Amino acid sequence: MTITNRNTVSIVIVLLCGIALWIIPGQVEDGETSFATGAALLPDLAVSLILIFTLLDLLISFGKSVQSAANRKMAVAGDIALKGAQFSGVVIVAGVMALYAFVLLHLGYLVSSTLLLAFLMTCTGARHFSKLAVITVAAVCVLYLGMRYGFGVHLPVLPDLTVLKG
Amino acid sequence: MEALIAGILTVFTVGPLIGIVAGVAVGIFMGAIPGLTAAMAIALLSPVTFGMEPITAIAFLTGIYKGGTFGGSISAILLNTPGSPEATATAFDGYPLAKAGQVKRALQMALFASVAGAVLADVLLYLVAAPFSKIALKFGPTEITFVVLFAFTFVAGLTGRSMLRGMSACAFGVLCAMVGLDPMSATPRLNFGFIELQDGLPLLPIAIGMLGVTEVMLAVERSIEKRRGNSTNAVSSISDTSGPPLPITEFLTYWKTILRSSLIGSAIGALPGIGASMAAFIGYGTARKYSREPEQFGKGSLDGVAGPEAANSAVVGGSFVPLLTLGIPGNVTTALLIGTFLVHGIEPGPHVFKTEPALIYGIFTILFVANFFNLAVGLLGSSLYGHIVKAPEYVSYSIVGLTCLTGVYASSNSVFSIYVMIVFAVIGYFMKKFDYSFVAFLIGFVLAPEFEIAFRSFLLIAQGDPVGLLLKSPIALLFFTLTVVAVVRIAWSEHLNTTGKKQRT
Repeated sequence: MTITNRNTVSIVIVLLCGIALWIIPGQVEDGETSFATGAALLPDLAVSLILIFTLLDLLISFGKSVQSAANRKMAVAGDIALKGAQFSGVVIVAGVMALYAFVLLHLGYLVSSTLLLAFLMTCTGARHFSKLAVITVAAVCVLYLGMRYGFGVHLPVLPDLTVLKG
Repeated sequence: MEALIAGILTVFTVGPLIGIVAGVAVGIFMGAIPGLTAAMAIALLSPVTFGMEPITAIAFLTGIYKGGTFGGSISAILLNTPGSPEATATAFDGYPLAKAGQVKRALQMALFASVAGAVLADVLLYLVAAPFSKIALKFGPTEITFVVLFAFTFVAGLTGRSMLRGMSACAFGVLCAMVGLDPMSATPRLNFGFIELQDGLPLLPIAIGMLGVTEVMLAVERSIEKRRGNSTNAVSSISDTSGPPLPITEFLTYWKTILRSSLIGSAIGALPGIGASMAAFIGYGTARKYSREPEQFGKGSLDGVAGPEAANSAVVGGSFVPLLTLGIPGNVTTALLIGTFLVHGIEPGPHVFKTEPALIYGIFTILFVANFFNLAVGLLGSSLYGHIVKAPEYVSYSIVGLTCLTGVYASSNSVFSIYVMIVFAVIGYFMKKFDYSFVAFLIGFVLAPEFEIAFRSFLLIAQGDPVGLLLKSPIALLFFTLTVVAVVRIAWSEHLNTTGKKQRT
């Protein structure tokens, strides 16, 4: 039997569903429960369905891989290749955006957005500093002015001093 | 009649007209850049419409939808890389035409066919929607439960490569929509102590995270792979958009292909889950089947551009049928539109035809007028296409990343929404990698509140005998049968596909 990356993900989902089914009762105040129509009905049903569908997917995948030696390749052929480097995009973008959310009120929109954009452009392949600087400043200014005067959205342009003072 | 005139007059004012032009221009621009789609543009720009008049906001977003559908064909023709998935079939003949020096003819055929297909679909929408809404008005909790269940199954089964994973994604969407207050007892549910989750998970940060930020993550990943020398995606682009034009008399000789594809697109648009890509492929296949020169397909046939473009543009009008008459979105774009409608206090569904007929006719007018603006903007901007499609990835994706953050922050004035967006971007990334349909997730998320109320009411009315109640309602029974048939049909098709007996198209 071949355990593929897809199978591993299915097993993780099954485990998460088990945890969810255990957590849900503590997170739902069940009021009206006539004919099983309480507030927990749909959350429980949704998690149970995910669990059933994922288990079925897993069983079908295992079934295919044990049918014959030749078929053993089938599960692998439909698998998703995962390498450490592939996750770098997720880690970098999620990390820098979380940092942006954290510093937005401390540094203000213009400074934090300029830093973020310059970083993202470097990560996505920008090589020339002059181009990077011009595009970054222009894009941040256009976005800020467009939001402020085009759509009437007020962004925190300067650092929030109350936040800085704690 | 009064409502019709009032609806038309509402649209022919400065705000909505500017909204349509701006939306069409943004849609074409975003659609033309490979990887960026009209749905992403709608998700990114929805927050900025919150301060607009409802009709202007609808005009702007509908303009994006219309423009984006045509925009995808530009990079398909110039780069052989579809700007959006529904333009994939356009590249088959569009790019060979462009390489043969007929780039202007190919682009104009895509534009004219797109506009013609959309106009025909909008006329059909106008004819079909009002009578259908009268039937839909009779729907009670039983009917709504089974109609939505059918939509869930259909979308889950057709938007990915695996029905089981599609259904899991849909159920996950339903689960996420359960966060907040229980709609029937108003008690808190699944908020894990976060006061910000009291009103539930917000749609826009989720959609923006899954559509926009996920693409930025993939762009960073591609850049890293490229630097390590693992990627060789050299693209040969055509930047000169000149050449002989397409005379309107010649375009009219393709009327049969356009009419056929428009009908296909309208019908597919009205069904949830199938989407514009499938419509385009069926449009392409049908055009080839009925062509006098089928051997020219793939080598540069104008029929091969007209077929898919008319079909994928007709999907827009078709997709408004379930949206306006039942309040059921059939694809990501209409799911996002429904979210924006709700923000503006418009709850799509059959009752809107009775309570706000002027608004409905206003939406019809917007859809219709947007086609002509699409034509005008498409023709005027044709000299810029070569430059748009060549925009470096580091510019487009980085700006998309910043726009995602700005849009999400602006929509709620809270950094909590940014964290929600990041979490769902990571989830969206893995869903994409492991083929869990994002469309099924989003349709589950958007329809879950309506489904929950209908389903729980159905169980209460049934008094312990749901089968008896189901059998009493012919409409519910019809949709239940359709659901079962859809599940069996899709499962059988998948089985044949995996065992290699038949290739699913």
